[in-house]
Parts: sequence; C-alpha cells; structure tokens
Amino acid sequence: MNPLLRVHELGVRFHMRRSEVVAVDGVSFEARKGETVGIVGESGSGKTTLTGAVLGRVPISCGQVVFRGEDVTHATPRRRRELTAELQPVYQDPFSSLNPARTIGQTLEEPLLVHTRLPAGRRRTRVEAALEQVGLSGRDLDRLPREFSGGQRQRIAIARALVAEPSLIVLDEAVSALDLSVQAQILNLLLRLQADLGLTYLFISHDLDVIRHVSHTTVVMRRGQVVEAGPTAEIVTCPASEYTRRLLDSTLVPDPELQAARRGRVI
Amino acid sequence: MRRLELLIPAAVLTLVVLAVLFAPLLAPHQPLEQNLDDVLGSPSAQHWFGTDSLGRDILSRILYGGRVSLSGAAIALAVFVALGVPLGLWAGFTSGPADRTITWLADLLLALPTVIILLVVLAVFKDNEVVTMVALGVTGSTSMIRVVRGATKAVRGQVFVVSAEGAGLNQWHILRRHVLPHVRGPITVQATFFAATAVLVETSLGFLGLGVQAPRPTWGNLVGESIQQIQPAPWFLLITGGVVALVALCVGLVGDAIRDMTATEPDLPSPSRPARARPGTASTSPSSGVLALENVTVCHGGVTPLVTDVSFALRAGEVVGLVGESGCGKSMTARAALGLLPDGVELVSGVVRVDGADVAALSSAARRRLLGRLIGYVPQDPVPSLDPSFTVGSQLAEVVATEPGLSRAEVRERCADLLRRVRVPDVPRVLASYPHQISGGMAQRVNIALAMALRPRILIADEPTTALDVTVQAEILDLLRTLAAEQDLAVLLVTHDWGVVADLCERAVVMYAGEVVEISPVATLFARPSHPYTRALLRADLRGSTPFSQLPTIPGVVPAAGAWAYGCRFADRCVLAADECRAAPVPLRSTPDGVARCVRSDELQKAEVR
Ligand SMILES: Nc1ncnc2c1ncn2[C@@H]1O[C@H](COP(=O)(O)OP(=O)(O)O)[C@@H](O)[C@H]1O
Ligand code: SF4
Ligand SMILES: [Mg+2]
Repeated sequence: MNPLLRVHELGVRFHMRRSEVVAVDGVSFEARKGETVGIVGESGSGKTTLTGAVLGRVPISCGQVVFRGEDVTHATPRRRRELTAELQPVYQDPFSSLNPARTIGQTLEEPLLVHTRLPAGRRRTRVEAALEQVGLSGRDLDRLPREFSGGQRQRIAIARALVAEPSLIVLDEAVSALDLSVQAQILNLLLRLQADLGLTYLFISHDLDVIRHVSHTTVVMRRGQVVEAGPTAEIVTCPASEYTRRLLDSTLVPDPELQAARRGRVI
Repeated sequence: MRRLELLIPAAVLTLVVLAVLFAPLLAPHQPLEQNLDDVLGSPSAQHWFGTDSLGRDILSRILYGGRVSLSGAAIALAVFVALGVPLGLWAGFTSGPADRTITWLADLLLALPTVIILLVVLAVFKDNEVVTMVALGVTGSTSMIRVVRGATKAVRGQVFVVSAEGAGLNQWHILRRHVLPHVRGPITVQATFFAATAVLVETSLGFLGLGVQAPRPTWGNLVGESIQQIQPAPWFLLITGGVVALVALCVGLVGDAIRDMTATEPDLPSPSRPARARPGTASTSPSSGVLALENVTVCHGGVTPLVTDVSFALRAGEVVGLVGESGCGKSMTARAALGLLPDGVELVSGVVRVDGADVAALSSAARRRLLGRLIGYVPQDPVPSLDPSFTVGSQLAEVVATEPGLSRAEVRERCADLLRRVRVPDVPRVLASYPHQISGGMAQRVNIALAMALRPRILIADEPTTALDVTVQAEILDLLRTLAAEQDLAVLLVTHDWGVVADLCERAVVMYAGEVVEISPVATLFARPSHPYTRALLRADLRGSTPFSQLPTIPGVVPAAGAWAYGCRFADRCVLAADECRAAPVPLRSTPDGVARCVRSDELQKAEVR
C-alpha cells in the first residue's frame, strides 16, 4: 500500500546575510495511513523546520514531499490552501496557540470558513461534534480560551485540527507543556482518535518516552539530519547510533535507585 | 489614578477642539475686526485675552487661528497614519522583498532632514499649508512604519498567529483579525506623539512667517506677533504660547497615559536581581532548617485561599521537590517563600523563616533587600527571563555590582567566575553575548549564575529544566546537585516530573488543592506512597507503560482555588474515597518517615487496588 505521506531526501536551507543554514538535510521517511511517525531530536535538530516544510509553510530547497501520491513539494498557493484541510497542525503551547480575544466557537469555525461553504447552522453542528470528540461540550462554544485549563485548551486545539476532517495531523510538541496526568489524558485521546478515525500522526517531540508510547516508527534527528530511523521498538531497545543511545541514557526514570544507577552512564 | 491621567488631558483637548470648531459661534468678535482705539488692551470683560497691535480681539483670533493650525496638524496626522500603518504592517508581516524595500525607503526618508524638506516644499508650493502638512506626514511616517513593523513582527511570531496560518487563513484575514488588535496600542501611542509634534511644527512655521500669512490668524503667526509685542504686552505671548503649549502637552499626556495602559506588566519580578540593593543582615536564630514555612496560608483578594496551612523545612545542602499538578499551589508556595507574591495575593497567616528569621514579617522593601542575598530564584523559561537588550555580562554585572566597594575589574572577574562555577565552557564569549545568541541550556546556566551572584543560602527553582532538552536537562540537574553539595545550598525544586524528583531530590512535598498531602523521602514515596493522589500521579507517568495502551489517569480536574470540598479535597477523584473521607477536614498524620493527609493510608498500603 502506498504511504499517505512520503518525504524524500528533503532539504531546507535558510539564507542569512552571509551564511547559509542547512536546517533540514536529506531527510526521508514514510507515514502509513493510520500510523504514527515519531520525530525525536533536541532543539535545533530541524524538527520544526521539517514539519513546516511538510505543511508548506517553509520553502523547500530540494527533495520531495508526496502526499497521497501527489507531489506537493511546490504546490501552488491555491492547492496549498486546499491541502491545509488534509494536513492540520497542533502546536505545543495551548496558552498562546489560541487567540485570546476570540471565543472557542469563532476559533473552531475558521477552518470551515476557509475550506467549506457550509451555512452557519451546519458549521455550528460540525464544531460541536469536534468539541465532543475531544471530550468537551457544545456549551463551551461561547467561552474564551482563558476560561479553560491547559489540558482543555490543548483539547480545543485538537478539536480545531479535527474540524477540517484532516487525514494527517502534525503534532509539534503537542503534549510537552502539559502536566503528567493531563499529558496522559491527551495521549489517550490522541490514541483513541487515531483508532476511531484512522488518523495519521506526525508526532514531533523532544521526549523519547512520549515517542516510544505513541509511535509505530521513529525518526531520530540531529542537526537537520536523520541519525537513524526504523520501527520504534527496535530503536528504543537496541539503538544503532551512539547519539540515540545518549538520548536514551539521558531520559530520566521515575525510580530513585534506578536513576542513581543510570546517572553514571550519561557522559 | 491611571484613568485620571488620561481623562484630564483628553477633556482639555476636547474642549479646545470644540471651541476651535465652533469658533464662528463662540468668538465674541470677528478675527479681522480692527479697533485702532483699543490697541494692545489688557484682558478685560470685553476682550478676555486682550487685543493686539491693531486692536483685534485675541481670543477670537486664537479660536479662528486654531482652525488653520489644528486642521494642518490633522492633515499631517492623517497622512502619517495612512502611510505608516499599512506600510508597517506590510513590511512586518511579509518578510522578504516588500519588507526590505519599505525598510530601505523608510531609512532613506529618515536620513533626509525634515526641516529642509518642509522649507523646500513651502518655497515650491508658495506657502501652501496643505501640501506642507502632507509633506510633514510623509517624512514623519518613517517612525510609524518602524514601530508598526516591529510590533507586527513580534505578534507574527506568536504561536496563535502561526496556528492561524496553519489553518489556511488568508493573510488579509490574519492581519485584520489576529495582528491588528495587538498592534493597536503602539499605533495609538505613536499617533498621539506625532500629533503633538505636528502642532508644534505647524506653529513654528507660522512663527517663522511661513505657511498661512497674516492677517489670517494661525497659532504660529499669533505667537510670532506676540513676541514682537513682548515689551508693551507680555500677556499676549503668555496666552498664545500658553495655548500651543497646553495643546501639545495634553496630546503628549494622552499618549503617555495610553502607553502606560497598554504596556504589559512583568510577570514575576526576579528576586535575583534586586534594584541596587544594599547588603542586609537577617537576625539569625537556631532553627530546624535554613528555610522553613510554618502554617503558611495565602489568599487572593483577602478571601479566596490559594494555599492553606503549608509547613515544611529545608536543611542546608538538601534538595526538596515540590510536586503536584498545575493549579495545586506549588508556584504560589514558592512565591510565598520568596516573599514575592503577585498583586492582590497575600500571606494571611503563617511564618516564612530564613535562617530562623521571620522574613514574612519584614516590610516588603526590607524583604526585597534580603532577597537575592538569602534566596536565589531560577525561572522556568531561561531565554525570555533574560532581558533581550543587554548582554549576559552586563546583566550579571548589574547584580554583582549591588555589593558595595567592588571595582569594575573586580565586578568583571566575579561575573566570569560565576559563569565558570555554573560550568559555562566559553566564558568570554557568553559574557559578550545577548540572550538570543546563546542556547536554552546556556541561558539556564546564566540564570543560575544570576541566582547565585549574591551567594544565597537557598535556591528556589520553578521547573528549571522543563524547557530544556534531555541531555541539557541532565547537565543542569547535575549542576544543581553539585551546587547543593559543594556550597551547602538548600534547593527547593518545583517540578511536575517524577524523573527529576527521582534524580535530584532527597525528599518530596506533594501538594494537592492548595495543601500538602504528603511529605516523604523519595525512596519511600516511589515505593510506597502514603497518599492516593501521590500514587495516582505516579501511575499516570507513561515511563514503563505498554506502548499504545490507554494510560491510567486521574478522573476529573484539580478543583479551582477555594472551591475545595469540606472534607478530603481529593475525595471526588480518589478511588479509595469513603464516607469517612468527606465527613471532616483531614489532618496531616505521621507516617513511618513523613506525613500524609489521608484517613485511609493504611488501606492504601494494604490493598494494591487501582
Ligand atoms: N527562519 C530561520 N532562519 C534561519 N535559521 C533558521 C530558521 N528557522 C530555523 N533555523 C535554524 O534551523 C535549525 C533547525 O531549527 P528548528 O527547525 O527550529 O529545530 P527544532 O524544531 O528541532 O527546534 C536551527 O539551527 C535553527 O537555528
Ligand atoms: S482521605 Fe479518603 S478520599 Fe481523601 S485521599 Fe484518603 S482515601 Fe482518598
Ligand atoms: Mg522546535
């Protein structure tokens, strides 16, 4: 079966005054429908730039992005806008990714205004349905973001992505700012939505533990390049690269004795 | 207070503008009506502001003159806004050729002297007031372009704008709905300041005999005339100059008031950087710990409790974790310990002891002086916590220099030494860097250096590694561990990461709904938690989970401050809850090596129920 998304030898360069920054360098991976590709790496490793390129928000210097068999590397702006219905992002910060001055209903309606010609009543039904899918209720439509907790706001951000009925959601550090118990709730929600709706996720995180929990395949990035990629279970149990091993060793375990023993291993 | 600062000048301006607007109705005389029998008459019932050298009524001339001067200023202002705002928005929003072209043009315009441009325009267009004011608006618009461009760029970087773009919204929509509302403040401020300038420039031109010519009055030529009559009629200048000055002043005050109202308040004043503090000495008395909170209760607005009856102590050299979900009162407790509660929040009862001295009892000024010397504070977001417009070196020096009697060389050496102690590898480079030029991990080292600058006994760190990469987190945790051990520093570490607790802390204080629910040594806490909340929170940790499985969560949410149950505050979410839990407030009880606030601790230990 063809993958839903194929990224092939992708390169992104930024031209600065005198120098050139290679933010993404020859990155390839595939995302199959209904599965999750985890992209893990430290800050500056090019994760955000990579997702920007996939979403068409960052100009691609070389390589290809193929979505549903269509080469969208240099899609026209009009085609791009159509594609945004299929490719939806969810960002890290549930506090600033929602416009504080607009009600939840207004925010969630925006994708529908752009991508559809639904009448107001039908838009409202869709928005309410999306809110219910993420465990909120239609009663929340007229409230402002500040009236919600961090976890609820992230649910709203996920609902906003769902409204357009996308096939692929790019989650850029989507659970990184959340409390443990809330993180668990959001991860449960994402896994459930994936099972119910057959969603494909591109899951960006600096947290290898989160990636291990949600990803079928994992891409480890460093300085714009892929360090290693493969089935998640293999990568977290027997990493091929020294760098991945170091990442694994740096993760903390919630067990004082084990953690004390591990501490010495990190260089 | 703030409202008056806006209302008074705004009211004065409105009166002046209305008077000028209705000059034909209000003016007691015709502006050109001469009376050579009554020249340079002093203010009287007939002529409130006196008469000029041709016996014309000065009040009437000022009212009519204002029509020329104020409409001139209004034209300049209109051009200034109409040109500056769209160009600024455009440049700020579309980085690229448009931005470069607009910035280049603005720079070019800025380089040309305004006065010369205006003189040339006046000469070419034969004193045409409208054209001159348009020219003034055009030359002035460079400042509006720059400000709007900068503000737009800043807003554009905000994640909510980025997400709006991600939703496929068109740029016009984003500009109008998401960007414009956030740059309205700077635009208004810029416009008012320019309006004041425009009034002054218009009058200066009239004063120089340029622009609209006598006998038609303008404020400028009135001031010009009055200066010639300063000997026989000093009030003439006082009145004409006074009106112009009053209007310019009021416009400026309105601008100031708006700027103050739209300026954002800093979130948490960093106690590690007290304003030019003098060294203070806390009276010390022997006590259990270097930092001790005793029955601390913190309320908002005097009524809503945020934190109740919190007690715990830190020994020198000990690292204690303060754990719990968001909204449980961890940061408020840390702030209470720092003596830096936000506005409207106060310590209503309890004691905070540093080295045995009750610091909560000190006046806020005295406490602020002690902060930084006794307690250092490490923030969560390393980069935004540093001031972007100063180098690391100057920010460190600012704090170090609060210690009196240090020469500049000594200050510099002390700064370098601080950075070496937090294991910054390339000290000279980092000292000379601006915050945005260093990595997050490096910035956090700088924050720790700042917190350590005045050699405090205690370090309070609020989620210090949450924003960092794992490998960097490991380094920062190592650094904190070393500082605690080598310098006998007591560290209170606010965190929601059990991994951090396991790695660094000896004991943990678990908070729920504004109160301490458990204090235990970490070994006990992880192996046999004494409170159901601790256990539930430990289980929600995905480390050790089966991939793709639904994780155990805690049902419900943390109750809002003050909306706590009468009995056990955790009862609504607790799997072990029983009637006895809800009957009465649950006190803290001793456990073998700590305390826990649960009536069914024993059941918890016995039954491994879910
Ligand atoms: N607009 C830009 N201009 C120049 N360099 C950039 C830009 N965006 C990102 N970079 C650089 O690209 C690299 C990768 O950054 P990024 O994609 O943000 O990584 P991550 O998401 O993993 O933090 C970094 O070196 C960063 O400095
Ligand atoms: S007192 Fe009762 S409700 Fe509260 S934590 Fe203990 S068992 Fe649960
Ligand atoms: Mg990133």
